[in-house]
Amino acid sequence: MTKIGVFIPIGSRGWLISTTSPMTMPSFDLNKTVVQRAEHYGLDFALSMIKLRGYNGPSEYWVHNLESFTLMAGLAAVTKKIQLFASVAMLTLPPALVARMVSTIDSIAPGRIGVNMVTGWQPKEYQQMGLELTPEHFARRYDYAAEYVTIMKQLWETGVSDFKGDFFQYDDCKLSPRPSASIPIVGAGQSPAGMDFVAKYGNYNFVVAGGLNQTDGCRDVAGRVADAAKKYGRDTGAFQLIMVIADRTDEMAFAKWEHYKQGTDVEALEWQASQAGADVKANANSTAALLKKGVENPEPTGMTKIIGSYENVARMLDEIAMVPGIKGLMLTFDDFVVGMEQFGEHIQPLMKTRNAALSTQAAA
Amino acid sequence: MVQIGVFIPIGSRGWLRSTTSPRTYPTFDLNKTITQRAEHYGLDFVLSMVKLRGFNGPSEFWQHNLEPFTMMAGIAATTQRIKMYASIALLTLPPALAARMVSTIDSIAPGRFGVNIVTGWQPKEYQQMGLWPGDEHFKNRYEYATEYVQVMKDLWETGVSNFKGQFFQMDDCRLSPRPAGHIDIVAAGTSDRGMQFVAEHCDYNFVSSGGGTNEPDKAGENVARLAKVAATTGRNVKAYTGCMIIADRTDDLAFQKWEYYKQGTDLEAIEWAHGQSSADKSAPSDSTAGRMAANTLAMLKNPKAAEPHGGLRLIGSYENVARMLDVMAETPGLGGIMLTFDDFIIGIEQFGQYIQPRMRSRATPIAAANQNAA
Repeated sequence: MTKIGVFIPIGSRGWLISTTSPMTMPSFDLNKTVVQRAEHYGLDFALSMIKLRGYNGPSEYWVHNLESFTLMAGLAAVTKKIQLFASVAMLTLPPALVARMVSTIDSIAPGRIGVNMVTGWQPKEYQQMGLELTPEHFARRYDYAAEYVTIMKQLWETGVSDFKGDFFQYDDCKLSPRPSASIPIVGAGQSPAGMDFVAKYGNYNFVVAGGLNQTDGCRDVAGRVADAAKKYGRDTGAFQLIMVIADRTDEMAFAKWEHYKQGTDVEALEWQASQAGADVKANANSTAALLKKGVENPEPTGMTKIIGSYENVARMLDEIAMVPGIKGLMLTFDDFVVGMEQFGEHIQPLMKTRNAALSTQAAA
Repeated sequence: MVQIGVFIPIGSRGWLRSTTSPRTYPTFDLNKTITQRAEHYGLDFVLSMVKLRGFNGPSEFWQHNLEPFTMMAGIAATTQRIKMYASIALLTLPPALAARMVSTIDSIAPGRFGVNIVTGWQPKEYQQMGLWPGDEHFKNRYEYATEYVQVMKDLWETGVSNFKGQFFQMDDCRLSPRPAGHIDIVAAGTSDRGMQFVAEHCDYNFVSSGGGTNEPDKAGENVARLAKVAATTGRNVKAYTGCMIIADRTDDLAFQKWEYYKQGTDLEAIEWAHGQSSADKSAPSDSTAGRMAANTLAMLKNPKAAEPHGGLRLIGSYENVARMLDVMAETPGLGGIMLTFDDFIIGIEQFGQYIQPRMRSRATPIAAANQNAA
């Protein structure tokens, strides 16, 4: 069964860089509603990103953002079953403190918290607070991440870390309570180094493709995720990031997309491109390189958009889910509360990859 | 009206360094229950410390500790009225990130969250993770704290910080959403320098109530010291103090518990506390570290007189504890009292059912709590 999660709107405008898309002002109540409804509809996980600086431009894209660990801690206290992931901007928090935050959220919701590792691509997020993303950092960011995750794993698994590396020197560092279960690690490594890091340490790798109603855009990247995992004898799966814009008919769904396109915030896309361009040696497959391209063909989002009637969206999501190497989907919506209800009520019930009964029927 | 709060047990053994005291293993459920019961009884606030390293010794004192911001975020989501403070270990968290965590918890519980500033006195907490700046930190920790608080205030009040200082350089740093209202900042500065920091930059200060058993009238001097410094700044800064409550139906029953905990006093933990608190060779005798160093040394020299808790204890029948708390509440200028208990759940129930109703100084909050219950 394909896993499905929701990329919850911790930042303003969600994932649509547009002045005509829903404002999606991040509040605890909004995120709580989205996650409780996701849980109600049997979704597998909710993940919040960490973003410390928004984009310039009139849409105020990501200008308003909550903090990921405290948000997930609050959500943990008001949910029962759903898996939660918080994101750590590794340059801003020591690994021993993050390990303790994870233990604390595990105490709130035993066995339900995981961590998304963020190396950083947007220099201003860090530079604004005196932390520099230097060329040396870009070149070695996954070495840094490997040391970081090793320390956390030592603390979670044994309660002690004596790790000595290039970036961290620990000396009989202790953690207790330890989490009640193994803590899943996820990442979104698209470059070869990033993919290798997630394959070695991670459970899921979030992958992106572009395109509108294109269901095989991740075939290549999912294959690379699977190959990287094989190298370490692990089963790290590719999870594709998708925006769903749905309605009763194709026409009604596309009318929404056309409306959002009219408000495309070009100034914000230019900001994104200039920030993503800071890593001049970025690999062509890296997140930074993909974001840089956004300005060439300005649209409110560069991620894969699945737009249409409930039936057509369900069919296309099934097609994506059946691409070899894809183990799950992480969904965003144009409007998260409405979108989650549409998904739960009208789309998911039609998906073969989410309903054992339907897939048996299809086979017979 | 004096405010009453609870110093909630985010660390194992609470505040008793003893192998015979309740283990008080910190879980979210334990802390949630205590806070919800405190809220039920109309208490005003809860505060959690941050402690990243426990003490050596068989009582495992503070060896098991949760992280305060994530814990308070969970508590914020499961309470309605009570005010909450989380502690920031300044050396572990950039101020811009701490400011955003505060905004997030304020989104969970608007107007109910504040922060407690911790400069750090126990080097091993930081050294273990490679973050101890060296012993010069002892000298300039309040300059560090001043810059830190300034960055957070810039962000909370205006959404932007361009602060440039010795320790922090901000460059058009942004925060949104900002908190819904003013964020109270508290600290526990007991040295002159610490009090000056609080008077200039914070809203409340936790001052020592002395020590010993059933001496509720010893906080006045420290409250007056703070008031004097605060007067020079023209700011409204209130002194809070604290004590441990060990109560029961009779004085005898309450003292039996204390005697029992004393039997298990963990000398190894006291030795560890002494080693850590005497690392700051220049600490004034009235600073947190200085007082702890002197207090622990006295116990090590005379182990028979060693006690599991160095601060003030109010031990006795419900009537006597209520009377002593009223004496404390009448300390001129005192804003509030923060309580710890030997056993927190039993203690908060005893306090809510039997002690608070007998306190003259809590007549109004009780009436309000009854109204909320009805």
